[in-house]
Amino acid sequence: MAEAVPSAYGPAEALEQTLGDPLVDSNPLSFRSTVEHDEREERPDLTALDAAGLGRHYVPAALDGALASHEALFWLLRSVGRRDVTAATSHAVSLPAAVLAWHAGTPAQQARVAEILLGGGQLSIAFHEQEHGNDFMATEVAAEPTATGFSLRGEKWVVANARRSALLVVLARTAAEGGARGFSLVLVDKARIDPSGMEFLERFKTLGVRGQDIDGVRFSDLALPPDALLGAPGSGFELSLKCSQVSRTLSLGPLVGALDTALRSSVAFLDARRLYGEPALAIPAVRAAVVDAFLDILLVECATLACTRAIHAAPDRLVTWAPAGKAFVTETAESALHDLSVLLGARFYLRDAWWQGIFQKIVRDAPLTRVSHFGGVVSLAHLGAALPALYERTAAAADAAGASLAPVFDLGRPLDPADGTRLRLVPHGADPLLLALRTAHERLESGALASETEPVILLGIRSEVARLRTESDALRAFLETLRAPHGPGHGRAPEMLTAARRHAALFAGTAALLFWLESRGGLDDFGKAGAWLHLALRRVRQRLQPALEVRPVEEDTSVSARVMDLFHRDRWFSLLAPPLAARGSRR
Amino acid sequence: MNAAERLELALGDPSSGGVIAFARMLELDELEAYPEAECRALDALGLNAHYVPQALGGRLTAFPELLALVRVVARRDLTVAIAHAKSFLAAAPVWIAGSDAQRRQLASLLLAGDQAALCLTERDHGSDLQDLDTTATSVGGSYVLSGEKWLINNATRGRALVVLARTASAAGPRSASLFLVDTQAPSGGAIEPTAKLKTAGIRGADISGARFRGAVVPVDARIGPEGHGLEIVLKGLFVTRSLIGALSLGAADTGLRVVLEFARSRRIRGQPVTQLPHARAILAEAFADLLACEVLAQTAARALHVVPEQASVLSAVAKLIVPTSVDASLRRLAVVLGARHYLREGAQGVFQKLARDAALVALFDGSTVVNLSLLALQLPRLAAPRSVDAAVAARGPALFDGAQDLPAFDASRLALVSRGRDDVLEALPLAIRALPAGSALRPRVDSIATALTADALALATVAPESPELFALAERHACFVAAAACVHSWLANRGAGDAFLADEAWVVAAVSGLLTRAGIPTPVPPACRETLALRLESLADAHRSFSLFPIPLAARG
Ligand SMILES: Cc1cc2nc3c(=O)[nH]c(=O)nc-3n(C[C@H](O)[C@H](O)[C@H](O)COP(=O)(O)OP(=O)(O)OC[C@H]3O[C@@H](n4cnc5c(N)ncnc54)[C@H](O)[C@@H]3O)c2cc1C
Ligand SMILES: Cc1cc2nc3c(=O)[nH]c(=O)nc-3n(C[C@H](O)[C@H](O)[C@H](O)COP(=O)(O)OP(=O)(O)OC[C@H]3O[C@@H](n4cnc5c(N)ncnc54)[C@H](O)[C@@H]3O)c2cc1C
Repeated sequence: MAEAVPSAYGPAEALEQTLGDPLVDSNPLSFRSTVEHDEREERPDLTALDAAGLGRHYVPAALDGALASHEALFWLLRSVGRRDVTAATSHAVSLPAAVLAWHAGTPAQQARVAEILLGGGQLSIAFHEQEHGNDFMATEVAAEPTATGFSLRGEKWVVANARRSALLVVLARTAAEGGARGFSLVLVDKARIDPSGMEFLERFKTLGVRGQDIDGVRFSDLALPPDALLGAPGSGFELSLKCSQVSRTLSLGPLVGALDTALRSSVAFLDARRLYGEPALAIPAVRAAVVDAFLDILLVECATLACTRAIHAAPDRLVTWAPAGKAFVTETAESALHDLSVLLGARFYLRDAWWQGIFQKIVRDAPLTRVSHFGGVVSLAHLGAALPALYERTAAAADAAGASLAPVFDLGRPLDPADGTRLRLVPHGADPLLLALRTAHERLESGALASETEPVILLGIRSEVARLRTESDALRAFLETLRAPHGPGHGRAPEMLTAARRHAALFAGTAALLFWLESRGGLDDFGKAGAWLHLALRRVRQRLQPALEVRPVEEDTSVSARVMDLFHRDRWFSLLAPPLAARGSRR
Repeated sequence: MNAAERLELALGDPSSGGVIAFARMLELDELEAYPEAECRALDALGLNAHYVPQALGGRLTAFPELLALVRVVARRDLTVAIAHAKSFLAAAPVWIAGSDAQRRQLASLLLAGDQAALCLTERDHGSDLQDLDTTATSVGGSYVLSGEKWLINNATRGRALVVLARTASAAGPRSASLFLVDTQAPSGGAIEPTAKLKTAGIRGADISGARFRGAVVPVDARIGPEGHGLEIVLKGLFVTRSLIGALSLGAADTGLRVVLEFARSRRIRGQPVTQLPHARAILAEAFADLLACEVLAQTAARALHVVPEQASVLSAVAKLIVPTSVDASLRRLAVVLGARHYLREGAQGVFQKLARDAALVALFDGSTVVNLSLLALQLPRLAAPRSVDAAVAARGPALFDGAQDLPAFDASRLALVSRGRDDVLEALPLAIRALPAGSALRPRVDSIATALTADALALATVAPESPELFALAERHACFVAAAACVHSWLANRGAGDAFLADEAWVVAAVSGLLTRAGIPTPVPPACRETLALRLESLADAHRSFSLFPIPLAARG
C-alpha cells in the first residue's frame, strides 16, 4: 500500500514526535494532565508548544516566522487539538489578531506583532460587548481622537487572554453616529500605555475550556498613541469581516483534532468490550455507528482542508466558503460527538475513567469553536443572505465558466503564497464549487476512472453526485421562493438559516468529491478505491433528504476495516492517514 | 390543589431562593457536594412517602401523580431529583415481586428516610445483565455475595441495596437472582462502598459502587424465585422507564424558561431576540417538543394502570424518545443563548448545569440503544396490521383523558412482551375518523399510516440486529408518540382552555416527531406563532410549561 504522507504534515509530524503519546501520563499535554488542568481550572502547560516553536508558525516567513502554508498550520493545530482543545485554543488565541495585523498593519505594527509572537507572547481580540454580542453596529467602546492620539473608553466582555496578552486588537466606535464606517480597530499594546487606564474584570467560569483565561476588560480614558489605529479609520467592520474568513478557518483545526481522540477512545472501548458473548464491535449497529463517525471526520477534514487551501489558492471564494465550512464542521463535529457518546455509554459521563476522562472534556470544549469568533447563527445568516444571488449567478454561468479548482483540491500541488488582498467582502460571479458539482458527472464518465474503480463503487458515486446535483437545484428553487414575497426582512427568516445549512452540506460533499477527483493519484489504495466517497456522499445526501435505505454491506465493511486498521497502526483518522506519535511513545 | 401543586408551592421559587435554589445548586455542583439539606427537606415534605404504595403505608396510588411530583423537583435541580427519586427506581422491583415481608421491610426504611440503590451494573458489564461477575452462592440456608457493583447511584448512602447477582454457573436469561440487602444487618460488614466517581453532570450525586466480600444474606433476602432476577428487574424497569421522563421534562421547563427570559430581555438592532424569526421558531418548537414529551410520559404512566400488559412497548418508547428529544431541544436552545450557554455563572449559569445533568437520563435505567433493541425485538409483531377491537376503543379515554380516574396498578399483569398489542397505534384509525374536516393533522396522520404500511414491508427485508432494524424501531417509536399526541388532543380539547382546543400544539408536536422519523415536516408558521404566544403568556402568568399548567411558586 502506498503511504502518501502530505508534505504539509511535516511540521505536525515533528510535533507529534516531540509530544509523544497522550495516553502516557508523563508526556506533555497527556490526557491525564489536560484533564487535571481542566478540573483545577488551570491553564494547560504550553511550554512544550512554545519549545517546539508553534508560535513561529503564526508569523509569515517574511517577518522571520515559519508561516508559509496554512495547511501546515492546520495540521499543527489539529495535532495539538487531539490532545487538548483548551491547549490548542489557548495557544492559537493569538491568531485572529495576528491575521488582522498581517492583513492591515503598517510595517512597524507588523514588526511589533511578530516580535511579540516570536518572543512567546500572545495577542487578543476584544470585539464583543456584554449587551451587544454580535450586534457590532451597537458597539459602545469608543476611541475618540485627542491631541496625542486616541482616548479609549468602555468595556469588552468575555475576551480570551485579555489579562495575559501583550497586545489587544479592540473594535471601537470612531464616529459618534456609528454606521458601516463608524468603527475602527485599535491596538492596545500594553508596553506602550499607562496601565492605570485599563482594568480587568473577574475571570469568567466556563462550561468547557475551563483552563483558558477568559476575562473582561474595561478602558477608562486609556490614552493611545496615534499609530494605534490598525488600517484606515472606519475600516473596522471591513477588516474584521475579511480577516475572519481566514481566522474562522484556522479555528477549526483543534476541533477536527479532538474528533480523532473521540473516535479513537470509543473504538478502543468497543474493541475491548464484550457484550452478549461477543465483542461489542460485532454488533452491526455499533459497527455502523463507528463507520458513520469516521465518515463524518473525513467530511469535516475535506471541508476544512478546502477552506484552508483556499486561503492560498482561492481567497476570493472564502467569503462564502469559510462560513459554510465553519457551519458544517462545527455542527457535524458536535453531532458526531453526540453519536459517539452513545457508543461510549456510561464512560462518556465519567471524568476520571476511560482514557483519563478525556471524552467528556472534549464534549464540553467543542462548542467553543461554534460560539466564539463569528460563530453560530450570525455567520449562517450572512451566508444565507448571500446565497440567492450566488445560486442565480451560478445557474446563469456557462459550465466552463468555473476556474479550475485543481490548485485547491490537488493536495499534491504546492500552494502559492497567501494573498490577503484577494479576500472579498461580498461574493462575486458564480461559485466554482457549485459549478464543479454541476459538471462532475462528465468527469465521472472518464475512461481512466472506469478502469481504476470498482464498477459498483463508481456507480454509487455517480448516483450520489446526481442526487446532490438535484439537491442543489432544489436549493436554488427554494432560495428563489425566499427572495420574493417576504420583503426586506427576508434575510432573517428561519428558512434562510435552513438554506445556509443545506448549502454547507453541499459544500462539504462537493469538497470531498473534488479531493478525490483531483488528488486520487496521491492517495493510498483505500483512498483511491472510493468506497469512502460513496458512503460519505450518501451520508451528506441523507442529511439533506432522509431516507430509509439498506447500507451497502461491502463498502461498509471496507470502511470499518479501514477504521480498525488506522486504529491499530496509530494513524490519523483521515483521508491521508499520516502517522501519529506511536502508542506508548515517551518524550 | 393536587400533590404536585402543593409541593411546587412548598419548595418556593428556585431563581430567588427556596428549598432548592438554583444558585445554591450551582455552588454544590462546583463543590461536588451531595445536596444533603435539599434531600432532607424533600423527606420532611413527605416526597419519600410517594415512592411507597399506599397499601404499605405510603402515598403512592397513581403513577401520573408521581410523574408530576418528580417533575416539580426536577425543574429545580436534577442532582436532587435523581438522588432522591433513585430510591423509587430501586424499590420498584421489590413492590412488583417482593414478598410481603420484603415489601414491608423496604417500606419502613424508605418511610423513615433511608435510601435505596439499584445495583445492576459492573465495570465489565453494563447492558448485558445475563453475564454478571457478582455471584450469590447458596450455602446452607444463606447466600454468600461476592463481587463488585460499579457506577451505582446512592451505593454509598443507600441503606437498602437491591442487587442482581449470578446464581447459576452459565450465563443466560435465568442466570441471575435479585436480592434485597440491608447494609445495616449483621452481615453488612462484608459490604464496602467504593470511591465516588467523578461525573460530567450531577456532580454532587453519590455515584459510587459496592464491593461484596463474602457478605452472607439470608435466603429470604432473595426477591422472587431463584433465577428470576432478570425478569423481575425488567418488569421494574418497565415501570421506572415509563416515569423517568419526569426528570427530562423538569429540565426542559427550566431550560426553556431561562432562554425565553434571556431572549425577551436581549435586544438586537432594537428588537428583542424573541422577535428574531429563527429564535422565535426555536423557542416555539422546543415548547411543542416539550408538550409531545409530556403527552408521551403521561400516556406511559397512565398505561401502567390501564394496560400494564403493554408496558414493554410504551416504556421503551417513552424512555427512548423523551430524554433524547429534550437533549436535542436544549442543544438548539443553547444557540439562542449564545455565549451565555457557555458560562457557569450569571443569570443563565443554571443552563449549562441542567444540560449536563439531563444528558444522563438517556443513559441510565437502560440506554436509548437498549430500549431501541427491545422495541426492535417486538417490531415484527407490532407491525402486523390489526383491526381496532372494541376493548381498545373502550380503553381510549382512560389512557388519554387526563380527567378520567385510573384503575389501581396491578403488577401481576405486567408482561415481558406485549404480543404485538399497542393500544396507541391500534386506535389511530379511530382518531383519524374523529379529526375535524380540514384539520392540518390529517395529512400528517395520513403520512404516519402510509409509513407504517411501508415499514411493515421493509421489516421483512432487514436483518436482525441491523442498523436498518434500529432505524425502523426509532421511526416506530416516533409514530407511537405522534399518535399519543393526536389521541390526547382529541380527548382533552374540550377541557376548557382555548389553547387546548386549538390544534396548533398538536400539529407542531406531530410535525416534530415526523421530522425525527425521517419524514421532514415543517411546522406551519401560524402554529409556531400560537405556541410562542402561549409560551410567553405562561411565563408571564408564572405557570409551568405544560398542557395543564400549574402555578409556580411566587418569586421572592
Ligand atoms: C451517572 C450514572 C449513574 C448510574 N447509576 C446506575 C445505578 O444506579 N445502577 C446501575 O445498575 N447502573 C447505573 N448506571 C449504569 C448504566 O445503567 C449503564 O451505563 C448502562 O447499563 C450502560 O452500560 P455501559 O455504558 O457500561 O455500556 P454497555 O452496556 O457495555 O454498552 C457498550 C456498547 O454497546 C452498545 N449496546 C449495548 N447493548 C446493545 C444492544 N442491545 N444493541 C446494540 N448496541 C448495544 C452500547 O450502546 C454501547 O455502545 C449509571 C451510569 C451513570 C453514568
Ligand atoms: C469561551 C468564549 C470565549 C470568547 N472569546 C472572545 C474573545 O476573545 N474576543 C471577543 O471579542 N469575544 C469573545 N467571545 C464572545 C463571543 O464571540 C460572542 O459573545 C458571541 O459571538 C455572541 O455573542 P452573544 O452570545 O452575546 O450573543 P448575541 O450576538 O447577542 O446573540 C443573542 C441571540 O441573538 C441572535 N442573533 C444575534 N445577531 C443576529 C443576527 N444578525 N441575525 C440573526 N440572529 C442574531 C443569536 O443567534 C442569539 O440567539 C467569547 C465567547 C466565549 C463563550
